[in-house]
Amino acid sequence: MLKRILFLTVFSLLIPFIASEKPLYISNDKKITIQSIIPYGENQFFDGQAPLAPSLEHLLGTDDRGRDLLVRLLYGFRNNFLYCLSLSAFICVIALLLGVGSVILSHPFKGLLVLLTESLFCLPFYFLLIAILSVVESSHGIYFTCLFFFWPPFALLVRSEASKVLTSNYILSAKAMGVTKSRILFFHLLPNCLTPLKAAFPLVFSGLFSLLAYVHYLGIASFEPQASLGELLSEAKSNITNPYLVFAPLIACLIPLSLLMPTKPSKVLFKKLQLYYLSYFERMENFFRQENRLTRFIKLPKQMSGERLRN
Amino acid sequence: MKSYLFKRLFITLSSLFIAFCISFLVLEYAPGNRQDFDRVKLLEAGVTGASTQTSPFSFSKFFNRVLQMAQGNMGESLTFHEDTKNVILKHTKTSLVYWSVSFTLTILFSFTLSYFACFRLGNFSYALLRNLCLFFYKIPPFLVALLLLYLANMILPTAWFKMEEPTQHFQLNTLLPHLWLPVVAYLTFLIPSFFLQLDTWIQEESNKEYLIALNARGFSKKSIFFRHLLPNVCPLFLSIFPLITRNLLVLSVAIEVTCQIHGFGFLGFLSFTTRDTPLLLTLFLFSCTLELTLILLTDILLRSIYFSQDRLVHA
Repeated sequence: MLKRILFLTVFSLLIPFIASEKPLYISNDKKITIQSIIPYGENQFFDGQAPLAPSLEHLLGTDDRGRDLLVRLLYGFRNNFLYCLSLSAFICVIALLLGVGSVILSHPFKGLLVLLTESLFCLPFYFLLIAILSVVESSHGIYFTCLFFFWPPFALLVRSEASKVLTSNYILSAKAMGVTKSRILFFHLLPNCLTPLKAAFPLVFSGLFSLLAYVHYLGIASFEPQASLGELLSEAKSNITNPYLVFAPLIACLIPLSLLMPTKPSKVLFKKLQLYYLSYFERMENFFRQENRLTRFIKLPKQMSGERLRN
Repeated sequence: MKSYLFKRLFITLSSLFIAFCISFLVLEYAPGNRQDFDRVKLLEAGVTGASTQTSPFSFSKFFNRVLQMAQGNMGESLTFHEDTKNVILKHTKTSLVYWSVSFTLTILFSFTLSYFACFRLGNFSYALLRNLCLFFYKIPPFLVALLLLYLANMILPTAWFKMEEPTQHFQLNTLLPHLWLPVVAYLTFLIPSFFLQLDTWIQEESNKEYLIALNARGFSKKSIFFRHLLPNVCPLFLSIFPLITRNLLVLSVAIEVTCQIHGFGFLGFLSFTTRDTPLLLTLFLFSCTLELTLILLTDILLRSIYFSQDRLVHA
């Protein structure tokens, strides 16, 4: 999962080198210029009746205002991805600190923190976001609303892990040995509480990615003049008969969401092919070693049932 | 159990209080607040000498607002010029129609799929089904609604998915042909989420000894599923029912905007675009109260199920 996030981050950082209006390099004597692969900018308008159909010049055509769709998609993905990545990182840090704090702090503060976490957890986040964005008209509104209100479920996760870690034997023996509280906190508690956050990070990220696309699609906020996937989806709704304007942003939204899914569908297919080519004994061995998913209700392989009857 | 109930009620009330404070501060002191609106009204009426500054915060104003809300006075909508409660009730009627259809179909399909997953599907098909459900669970429903709208434009006549006149929306006979789009969009999210949870519980339940004994005694799979598995899983299923229904409130905004259905979610979007702050904040408080009630209900149901199970075990 970390590798996929790293790959997507590197890809999004390289996008200005892939698609840029300005040349990447101009020599001193201006004889040598190196252009990017797609020599168009995010906000470069083209003449002609928008939206233009796909061609060699514009691989996915243009949007309804005459800007190259592929470049808008790349930059929209980049803006959304980096925005959500930084926000997810901050939310995880806040969830970690407040989750651990709600376990280790002394009583009145602990109680207040738990009350705050559980109260904010119950608020309808989307309606709250819409209410706040009606007042704060910028993308900063989304950022700060998410920072203040998106962390409670993950803080509760960290809190349950922290309370489990604190009662474990190695922490009790460290305390008995006289290890200071700060050392226990920074060297044992915090690193162990990172485990559920590592598992929850893709959920945080995909939730924020969907939220940002959702909010920009509705037109509640925007990155104007910069591109965003939600804005492209909104343009798709206005030009619903144009397949490129509809499918391109749809697929661009689905790619990061599906890449950050926990299971790989291809593994299932590979396993099926593997089973088909294995020998009889290997298949029997695999059959007995597989997880106990209602095995008592599944029919035994024919050869095996035949052997059982003979024996 | 009593102490748990009191604790949950206390948290619910504190959440409502936080929600009310946010709505009060936004309504009274944010740009475009009630005082600005009243000032504009006075200027339009030709009254001179109106104060141009927003009055500072005062506790008396806060408590007066609490009293007004307790008396049921949520304010007048700036767009509809009607009591906000009546506006919300009218629009919720429309949403309730397709919410109820979506829910009924979700329950039918999720139980059918879980029956097939239990007994009819091989390992490969079962794993494929689970992965498909995980994949569809991740797709935001408004993307599905957009895709369906595109396909509908290509294949179906316009009357089947385009709703132009808002007056038609509260009549059931004109609303029904247009319901398929939001219902299908909801089903792509609700069926996977219900099925995945139901399947996990069925798997846990099916490894118990009484079911193994029933199978060894020769009971048919159908009788085991319908007479033993399902009755034991249904209480758990009912307990997450309120929690998953809160997703309807969240998803309704984008789906109704895409499908042009003037329901609860569309009202929220409309109140945002027209800056109808009293309506927006009444919607926020209404959805907050509903969500808190649903979460409290879920907690109580889950707690009572596990509480009764613990008592049986210890007895």
